[in-house]
Amino acid sequence: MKNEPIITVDNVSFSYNGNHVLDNISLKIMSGDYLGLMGPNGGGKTTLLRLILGLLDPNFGRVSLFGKPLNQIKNWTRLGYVPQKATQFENKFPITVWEIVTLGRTAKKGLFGKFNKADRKAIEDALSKVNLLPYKNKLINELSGGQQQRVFIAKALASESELLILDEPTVGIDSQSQEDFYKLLTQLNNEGKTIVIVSHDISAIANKVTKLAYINKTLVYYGTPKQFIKKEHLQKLYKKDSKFINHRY
Amino acid sequence: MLEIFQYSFMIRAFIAGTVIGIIAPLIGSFLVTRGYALMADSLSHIALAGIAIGLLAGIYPIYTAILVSVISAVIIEYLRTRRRISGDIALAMFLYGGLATAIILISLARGFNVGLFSYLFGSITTVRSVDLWVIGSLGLATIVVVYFLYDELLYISFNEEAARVSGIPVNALNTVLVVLTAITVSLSMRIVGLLLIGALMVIPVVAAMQVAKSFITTLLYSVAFGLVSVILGLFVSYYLNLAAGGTIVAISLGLFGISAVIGLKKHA
Repeated sequence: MKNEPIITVDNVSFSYNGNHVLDNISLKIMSGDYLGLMGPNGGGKTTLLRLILGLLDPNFGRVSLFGKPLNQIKNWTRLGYVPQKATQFENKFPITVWEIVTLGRTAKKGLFGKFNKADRKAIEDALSKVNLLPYKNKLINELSGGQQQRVFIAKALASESELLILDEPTVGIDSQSQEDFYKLLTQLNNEGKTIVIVSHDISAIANKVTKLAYINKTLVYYGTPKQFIKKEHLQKLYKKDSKFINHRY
Repeated sequence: MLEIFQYSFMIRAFIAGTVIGIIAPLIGSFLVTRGYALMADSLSHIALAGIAIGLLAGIYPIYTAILVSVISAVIIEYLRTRRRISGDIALAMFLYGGLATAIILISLARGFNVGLFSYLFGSITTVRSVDLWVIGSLGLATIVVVYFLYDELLYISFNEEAARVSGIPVNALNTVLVVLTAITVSLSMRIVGLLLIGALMVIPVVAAMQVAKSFITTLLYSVAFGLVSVILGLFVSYYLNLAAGGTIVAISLGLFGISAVIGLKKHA
């Protein structure tokens, strides 16, 4: 189980309307990793995420999950995806905490099927894990931002996925809730879940993750967060330079 | 027995109305919550072209309406998912295209205006046994499909992209949903009329959303509101000699008003 590649990004390039968004990216995320996927806004990290999720196809290179090319994957329930909060749901959508977590189980039960006892147990366990079982019958928009984000973690946990991918999960959440949220992720990682967290906020996640990939069109850095922080001042200089050059165009 | 039930046409209207009062808000729940409320309205204008074709060709118009609206619904959905054009533009193009086709066909064959009017505004006195069979069987089929695909339909309404990532066949389910919408629209025109069917798919759902505490209760309340609107509407229209379609929609708006007040009080 350990040290099995979970996500393999192999020489991937992607252009959109003639703009190179990603250039020759290669990454290998192993089982048990807790990776921060970082980079400036517009640097291509969301695009890379969408390529990994199979929502976009690369122009060059290929992406594999669990050792299989994306187009051969039948069982997508091994992956739990938590989209950005802003794109999660319409604020007025009438849905309870429980109903959202059932969605995490929906693909697993199969088309035309109904939830059975084991499904309900998994949903209940997932809600207990994020300490929200007492809130199960609340409407999602009655919860705070931090609680809502934990609901979506529970939804991903209900599918019993090995890999959690989170896109900017703490945007708009107060700092105490953020701390609790990262504690939960660390706990899940310690229990063996592979986690990929996409964020633009280096200071928030650099001391949480075990590996860090910095993407700005190319893979600028890939390694431990400690090394990255050491190099960070250099990076800032480099960025200032490139801004200066850009002004001429 | 009430006088109203001495007329077999009223009994047929109540049977057809009950089915429509259930399926219109049932399908509407999955459309309204995903911001797709105008789908029903566009498809009803397209169905009008189907009616005109049926009247012109001497085919039972509900069949042609179902055929034309189902095919159009599938094309609209295809265009939307391929992102060739945005969803609302696709809806608008088909709405006006359907209406234009209908108007051309009507002008080609002067003389069936009366028949056409009964589809535009609904005409409960003209519900025939064959209508009951079509409405009953397709209505039942719609309920069965929603029952078995409930969780998946909820998922794609809630977050299409997350559903896609989890491996749910989103495109196929979206197609199922728009086909069910097209069928519901076509079946409902005898009772509420094409111009108002969108209202019966939307207003009971919005009314339910004011007071419901979950998605499943939204769905059940909306069906209850739809049924009350149709049944009460048929009674009122019969005794006050009003047009049934308008009366039904006016009652559903009244129910919305009541539930909005209750909803506001709850949140205050």
